Formats: sequence, C-alpha cells, structure tokens
Amino acid sequence: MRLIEMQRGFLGTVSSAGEPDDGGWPPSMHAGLQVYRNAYRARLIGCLQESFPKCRAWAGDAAFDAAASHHCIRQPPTSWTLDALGAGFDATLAELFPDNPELAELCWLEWQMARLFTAPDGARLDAGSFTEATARFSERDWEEMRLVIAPELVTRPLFYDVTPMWTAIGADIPPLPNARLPVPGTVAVWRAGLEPCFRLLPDDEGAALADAANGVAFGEICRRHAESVEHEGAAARCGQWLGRWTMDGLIAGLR
Amino acid sequence: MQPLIPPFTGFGLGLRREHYAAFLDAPMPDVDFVEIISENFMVEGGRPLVVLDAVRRTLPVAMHGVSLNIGSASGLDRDYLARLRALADRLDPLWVSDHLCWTGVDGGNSHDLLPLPLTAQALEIVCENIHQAQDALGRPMLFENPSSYVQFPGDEMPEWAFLSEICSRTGCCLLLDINNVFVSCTNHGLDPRAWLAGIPADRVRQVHLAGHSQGSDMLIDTHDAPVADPVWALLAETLPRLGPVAVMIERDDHIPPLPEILAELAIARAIAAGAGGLARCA
Repeated sequence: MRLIEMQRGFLGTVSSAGEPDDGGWPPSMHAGLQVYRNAYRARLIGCLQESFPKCRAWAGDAAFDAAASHHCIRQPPTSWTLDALGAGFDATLAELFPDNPELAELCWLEWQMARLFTAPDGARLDAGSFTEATARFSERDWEEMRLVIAPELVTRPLFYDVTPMWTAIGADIPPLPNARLPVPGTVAVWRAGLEPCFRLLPDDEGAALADAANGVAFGEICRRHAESVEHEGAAARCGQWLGRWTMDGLIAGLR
Repeated sequence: MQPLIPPFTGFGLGLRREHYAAFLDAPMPDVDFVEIISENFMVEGGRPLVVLDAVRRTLPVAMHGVSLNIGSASGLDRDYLARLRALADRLDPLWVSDHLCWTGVDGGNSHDLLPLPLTAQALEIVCENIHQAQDALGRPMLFENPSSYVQFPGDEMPEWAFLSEICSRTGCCLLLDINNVFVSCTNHGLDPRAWLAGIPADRVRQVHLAGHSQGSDMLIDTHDAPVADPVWALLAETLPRLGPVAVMIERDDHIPPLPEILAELAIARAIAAGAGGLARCA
C-alpha cells in the first residue's frame, strides 16, 4: 500500500465519529488504534474545555462536552495549531442551544479574549502623549484628525449583558439569570498592554468607534453623532469618548 | 549536507506556563537549559514571547515541536515552516527538534504523533521531507523516537534502523526519548536494550525522560507522572555510550510545583554522576 493511502485510511479510522470499526486493519492493530482514537477525541475536547472555561461553566460540563464533540466532528482540525479549533465554536453553540442565545455571545467573547492574548504587539498613545500630540492643534486640525485604532480591536453587536456573566463565572458568585439588554449594545475587545480586555459600549459609542477604526475624521464622527442621536453636546460627548478610548489603550496613533 | 549540530552538555526542563514566574524571578532555577514547545510560541505577540525573551536572556533554549508532520506523504506546511524559522531566528536555539511521526494528511490534522510504517517507501518520503525542513530552517534538526501503539505488518526494518538511516541520509541528529523506547518496546514485545544498542549513539544530542501510565491494553506515554524506575535504569545503562548530551525531564499534565521536578532532575544528575558523568563538549 502506498504511504499516502495508508495515512488517509489511518486518519479516517482515528477521527471516525461512529462506533469503532476495524477499517480493514489487521486484528493485531485494533487495540493500538483504539488508543489513537481515544487520544484524538480527548485531545480535541480537552482543547475546547481549556479554551472556553466560562462557556463550560455556564452550559454545564456534560452539555458542553457534547457540544465540543459535535463541533470537532463538524469542523475537524485542519490547522497546525490546536488554538484554531475554537474558531466557529460560537456558531456551533448557537445551533445547539437555541434557547440560550447568551451562550453563543459569551463564547464569541471568550474566543476573542483568548485570540488577542497573542495578537501582535503595538505602541499606544497614553493621555500624556495624546495631549502632547494635540497641544498645537487648530480647530481645523481637530476636525480633520483621524485616529489609528488598535489594529486588534474587534467588535460585534450584543443582545445580552455578558459582563456580569463573565465576572460571576468562576468567581464563586451565584449564577445570574441571563440578562437581555434593554437596547442592543456593542462589545469591543482589544488588548491593553499584555492583557486582553473588553467593554460593553452603548450603541452610539460603538458606531463612533467603528467610524474611527474605518478612518473617518473626528469632525465627521461628531457630525454623524449630532445627526443621528443628539444635536446638542455632540462634540462634548465625542470628546468624552476620545478621552475614554485613550485611557483604554485603544488609540495607536493620529493621522 | 549541513554540518552536524554541535553538542551541548547539561540538565534542563520543559518550560511550562505553570513555572513561568519561577523562571522570571531570581534566583533562577538550577537548570542548564530549557526546552519549549515551539508551537506555543509561534505567535504574533503578547505575554508568551515576552516571557520567552526574558528566559532566553539567561538560559539556552531548545525548540521542540509537535506539528512539523515530517512523515506526511502529502508534504510539509510552508506557512508552518516559515513561522518555525522566524521563531528560530528570534531565539538562536540550541537546536530545533520534532518527532519521527506524521500528524495529518491532505490538510487534516490529528494533533497526535501518529506512527509510520517502517518501510523503504516511508524512509524515502521522510528523508525528502527532512531535507526540505532543514533547508527551510537553514539548520539541521533533531528527531525524536515517539511512543507507539501499533506495529504495521509490512514493516521492513526496526525503528532504530530507520532512525539510523535518516541520520546518515540527511545529517539530522537524534533526540532519544528513553521513556518512549520503554513504552514502545513494552507494547510491542521488543527488548529496549537491543533497541538502544542499535541507534547511532554519536548522533544523540538530547535525552528526554518522562512518566507513563498503564492503559487497559498497553503503556501510554502520558507525561503526567514521575519517571518510572525501569526508565531510570535504561538511562544509567545508556549514558556511558553517549557523547555530550542535554538531558531533561518532560511533564505536560498533572504538572507539580517546580521543586518536585527539580528533585527529579537531581535524580538524573545523580545517575549521570554514577555513570561517570556526562561527556563534556570538545
């Protein structure tokens, strides 16, 4: 048998989801093949357990492990790194837990927090350097200022308040009921220094941050906010956000 | 062919997340080198590389991979090789090692060290892949004998002969895992001493020691327990045959506090001393 045919057959036997069959292998190999089958399944499920401890605590161990097994069958690993196995797990959970949509949102957040742990490093403007960089700005400079937002920033709409869930899980705080947000928000995930972090943003701030990340000038961000949300005080509100983004370590530079 | 990897003599540990703090604080644990799992550091940035750079400033580092897939009949992953090369360029490691195994084929990945049939055909493919990997890395590599749980009926040579052949054909060296020798030989009814007598001892640059577990039908290489007595015995018998080598303990599960692993490393030091000490580098 050619090596490539043997390897296709062996991998098929090891990763097969059904009941073990002999796969055409001689009886002398059956016990050993079962060792590889067990190791394959245990390693992949163990990887998802380690990557999503909060989801596992929220879903319950047995339900989570069944979902992890389903995910590995539906989306068998193709990357050289096990870290990639969690990609799309939020979609798997959304499909398997239609009555608990907060679980998929928690999963997305947990995945992004883990992913950003090893995101590229980059310098950020702190309050002092931002003040220095803008000290001589004219009104027109402020209007035309474009922010360079931390490149690892990811955002998505959120319908459930995951912040108390995140805090409670694993902290010996009694489980909380899943809390649907009165108004959908935006969760932003980025890395401050070496620590991944997230914040739930009001929808208007989320829109402004998305504009900033897309290179929209600060003056235009203020105008859009004034037109869509509040006519009075739009510039002041955008200024507050700018200060908060700087404190959060979200601004990598100015253009 | 590239020149052989220069040897390094000493005792080390696998650098694991649970022990990062100890390796960043003074006094540094009493080791001569650390080994990293390459894939854990083939990342864009963040804390893992910060820790690794700090450790590297004070200790030699050996890179040990699990995903090179050197035995795959569908070839090597160029992106993987590029990332491995970048990490090696960053670290200037003692060497880069992986396992004599395959992990996947046609893009699928088992994330396990799967066994190769010991045939002339497999040998050709492995040697071709080793040449490609060594060219991509710009350096020769070490390959480790994995634990195995099956033997293929069509095997044409013993594992030690296969290892010997890849050394002579590609210029690579060996990472001798004595626990894996014991596990595989026990599982397949082979004599570990005959196995060890067959390898080209002058090509061994590193020795791995680890614990195993008793499965339902065979021994399993679990890295979750102290080194077993028969493995210590094989170490004592083997060291006098080897040239200068780097000896280390691997622990990947049920990882105990660092002092416990250092105590195990002290046993390795004592065994080496009893065997006349490790050979020194020229």
